[in-house]
Parts: sequence; structure tokens; C-alpha cells
Amino acid sequence: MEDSSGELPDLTAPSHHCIDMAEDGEDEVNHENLKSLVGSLELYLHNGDLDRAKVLHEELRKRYADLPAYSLSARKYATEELANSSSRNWSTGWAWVRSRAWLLLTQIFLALGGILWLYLLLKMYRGVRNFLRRGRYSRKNKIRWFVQSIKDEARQAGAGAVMDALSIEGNALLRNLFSPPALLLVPPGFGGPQGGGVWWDLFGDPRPPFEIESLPRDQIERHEFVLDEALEEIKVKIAGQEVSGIVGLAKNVSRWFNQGTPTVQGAILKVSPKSAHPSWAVRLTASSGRRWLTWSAGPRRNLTASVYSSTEEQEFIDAIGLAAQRAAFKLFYRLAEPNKDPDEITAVAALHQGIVLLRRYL
Amino acid sequence: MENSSSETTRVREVEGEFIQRRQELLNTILRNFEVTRLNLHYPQFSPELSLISFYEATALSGSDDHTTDGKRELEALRRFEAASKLVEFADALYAQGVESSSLREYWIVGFHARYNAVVLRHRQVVARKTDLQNERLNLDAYKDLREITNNYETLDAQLSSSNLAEIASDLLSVKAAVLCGRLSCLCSQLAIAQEQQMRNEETELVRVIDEARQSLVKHVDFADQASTDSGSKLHASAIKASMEHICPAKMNRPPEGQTRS
Repeated sequence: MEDSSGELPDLTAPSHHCIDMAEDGEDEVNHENLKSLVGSLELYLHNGDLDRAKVLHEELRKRYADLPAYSLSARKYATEELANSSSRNWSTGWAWVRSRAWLLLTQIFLALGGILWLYLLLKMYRGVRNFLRRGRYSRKNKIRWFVQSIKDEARQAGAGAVMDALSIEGNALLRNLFSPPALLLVPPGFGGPQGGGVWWDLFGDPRPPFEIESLPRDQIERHEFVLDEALEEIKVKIAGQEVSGIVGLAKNVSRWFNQGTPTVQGAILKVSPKSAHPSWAVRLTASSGRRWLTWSAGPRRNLTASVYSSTEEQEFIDAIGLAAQRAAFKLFYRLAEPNKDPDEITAVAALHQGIVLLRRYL
Repeated sequence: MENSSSETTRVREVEGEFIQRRQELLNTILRNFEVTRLNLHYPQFSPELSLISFYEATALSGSDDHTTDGKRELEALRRFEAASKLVEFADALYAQGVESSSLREYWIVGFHARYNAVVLRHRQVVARKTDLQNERLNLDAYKDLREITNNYETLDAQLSSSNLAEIASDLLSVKAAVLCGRLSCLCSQLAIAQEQQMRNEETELVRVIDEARQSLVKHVDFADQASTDSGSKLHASAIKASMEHICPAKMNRPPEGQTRS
């Protein structure tokens, strides 16, 4: 490579050029490293991790100090970023808010999503279950009412009497087909040695009924009532202590599942007016969504029917039992014929009970 | 001695409890019918309200409480008379052209009420005019019983009215009861006539009673055959047995020295 004169060629310029290129390359690498560092710093700050952000800030400062003089762009970048540090929010409160709030929001979002998903799933389950149940009722031509609660604040064990009255077989006013009685007083001498008495249906054949004596039996027999007894039995004990609120929670869950389905709630009350004898009263309230009910006449509609009956307390009379029978009878009748005048139904119930008791009396 | 005394006390307690039970039951029955009446928004006279009156009256007349001085019987009588208006109501509708078959229940309950009102008066006479010592009716009752017999006969004639021909089968039982009441009344009259040696009346009564017995037996047999109820035979035989008890055939013999016509 020597030239003919024997002198070595001048390589200063190329070597300078080479050194410049190497320095530029290093500067570029330093610049990129600093960018990466600043990016991490920003991320930690953004997530509220102040400690790590401070460490990276120190690292930036240190690297800046270590940067060679020729690393111009990296130095410039580091100078700018260090100068910008004062504009960054380094407060701990804000950092906590940012870190926790994000976490909290994420958790809330996930929880809400989970709840929504569960709700939709349960709702779908409820819809399918109710659809199948309605189909079953429709096939049997029956409507089953769930008795959710019977409040008996005076603790007279009256819930049993009410449930008994809510079954057609248990209710004396519905157990037997009503036969309009033909009552003839027995004339003296024809009533046995004691005299007196009444002939019920002499020679047997019943007379045709008056309007208030006839009952819509077919419609009445479509309804049956069952006690939601599983809920009454739920008692949870933890470490020997009964956990309160479980029954209430379970009832509410059950109510949600049975929302719109035919349900009944009852109460037994003692009424003590100042100027009269105390009475025992039974109130029953039935409610149902329109999908569950099919009436023989008229369009489907939501239904709420509330009935009330009371009987005066006496020494030898089962006042709660009598009031329960009439209330249940009225409920059956209201459900059978929702458009009938409630007062007339009250009259029919009282009449039928009067006849049943009259048979016992005479 | 002590045992006997405590047993008597216990018997009285049981009797008292029984009376109280019946009293409470009657109160409850009447309250039920009162609730029925109050909740029917019908005009003052309506078939339904008459029906309630009929039931109330039956409950009151079935009472065995004699402490009310006849107030209860009077109230029952008033209500039976109110229910009797069903007959007039049905007659009026029939005159306007309503078919008798659709008025059956009104006529049946109305005639039952009319009959019960007569029986109630009959019972009152028997209860008030019976000598407690010898358990026989006194002479004073004779005239009242005659009037009641007439009431039974009027009722019997009404039941045989041509208007009721279509529903005659529904009125067989009330007609049988009317014949029972009439026979009971006649037999009581005969007993008084025999006691008081009222020869002419006795002769006439024997004749009428003989006819009444035959008429009752005939009607009861007819009602029994017409009925589809299995208990009708029991009713028929009970009525015949009671008839023999209150008015045996041998009692109907004519007074000595006279022959039956």
C-alpha cells in the first residue's frame, strides 16, 4: 500500500470519520437506553409506584452524569427529561389514588361484570323454570299458590288453622258440595219424645239453589295452596350461635325466584275494640303476575286480592278457625271469580258458614 | 252424702257448659247471617234477603233457651213471615208470565216459611197451654188448636193450587209436613175433647182424624216412592211411627153409643 515515494498515506481524515461514526452510534444507543429508562419511570409514576420511579429518576441522573461529552443527543434528552421532572406529579396522595383507584375500578368492573353475568344466568334459569312450571299447571288446569308467610304475632299457633282452611278438604265450607237445605220445623209429636227439632231435607231431594247459594266449584278447585315450609326450617348456627338474618335472606332470594309467581301472605291479628269483645281476624293477600293466571273470561292481568274475616272471641268457639275458614273461602272465591263484588263474596262466605254451624246447632 | 253433692254440682256445671256452648254457637250463627244481610246491597225486599230471614228464623226457633220469655219465638215468627213473602213474589212473577220452573226456589222456600210459621204458633200453644202437672192440654188450647188446624188446611189447599202443578214434586216434603202438623193438631184437639167429654166434637174429630191418617200415609208413601234419596224410607217410617205414637188407631174409636159414618 505504500506509494512510490515511500511515504505512508494520510489516514487522518478517514479515521476521524470512523471515530465520529462510532460516537454517533454510541450516542444513539445511549439515547435509546435513556428513552427506555424514562418510559419505565413514567409507567411507575402512572401506576403510583413512587419508590421505583424515584430509583429510576436517580438512575437517569446518574447516567446523565456518566454520559460522554460527544453523546450530544442523549445528553440533550436527559437534560430535558431531568428538567421535566419538576412538572411530574410526585405526591404520594395522587400516587395512591392512581394506583388504588385503578385497582379498585378494575375490581369493581370485574365484580359488576360477574354479578351481571350471574344475574342474567339466574334470570334465564328463573324464566325457564317458570315457563316449565306454567306449562305443567296449564296441562293440569291447576294453579299452585305458594304461601310465603303467615304472621301470628299473638303466637296462637293459628298458621296451622289457616293452612288447614286453605285446603278444600280441610275447609268445612268447601269440603262437601253445598246442598241448599230445605228446613221444616217438626210439629209437636213428630220430633221424638223431647219434641221440637228440624227436618233437614225431608224425603231427601234438594231444592234448586238461590244465586248466593251456588258456588263456582270448577273454578275454585283449580287453586291449591302449599306452604313454603323449607324456608321456615332454615337455621344456621356458627360456633353454637344462631346466625340471624339467614331466614330473611333466604326468603328474599326465594321471593326473587318466585317474583310474579302466585304467592300468598297471611296474618292473624287480635282486634280489641274498646266498646266490644275482642275478635280474632285473619287477613290473606294473594298476588300473581298475569302470565300465571288464565281466567275463564276477560283478558289476563296482574292480580292482587286481599281478604279479611274476623270472629268474636268466645269461650267455647274456635274464633281463629272460623275466621280462617271464611277468609280462605273468600280467597278461593275471589280467585275463581275476580270480577265478582267482594262484598257479595263476604256475604256468601258468611252464609255458608252460618249454614254449616246451623247444621251443628240443630 | 258429700259424693252425691259433688256429683250434682258437676252435673250442673256440665249442663251449664253445654247451654253456654249452644248459646255461643247460636250467637255466631246469627252474626254470620247478619254479616250476609249487611253485605248484600239489594233492595229491602229481595229473594236473597228473604232467604236469610228464613235461615235466621230457623236458627232462632231451634233454640232451646227458654229464658227469653218467648221473645226469640216472636222474632223467629216475624222472620218466617217475612220469608213467606217469597210466595207472593213468585205468584206475581208467574202472573206476569215468568215460567214456573224458574220460580221453583222462591215457592219452595216461601211455602217452607209459611209452614214453619204455623208450626211455631202450634208449638207455642202446646208449650203454653199444657198443664205441667198432668202434661195435658187445657180446654183453653182447644180454640187455638182449631185455628191452627185451619191454617194447616189453608196451606194444604195452597200447595194443591194449579199454579204449582209443574213443581208439585218439589213440594211433596212440605205437604207431608203440613199433613203431619194437621194430624198432630187434630189429635191434640181430640185428647181435649175426650178429656172434657165434648161428645159432638169428639165424633167429628174421630172422623176427620181417620181421614187425615189415611191421607198422611198415602202421601208419605207417594213421597217416598217419588224420592231418589236413600234416606226417604227412613223418613217415611219415622213419620208413620210418630203418627202411631201421638194418635194410635185405637184412639180413633167413636165415642160409646155412636157409630162412624
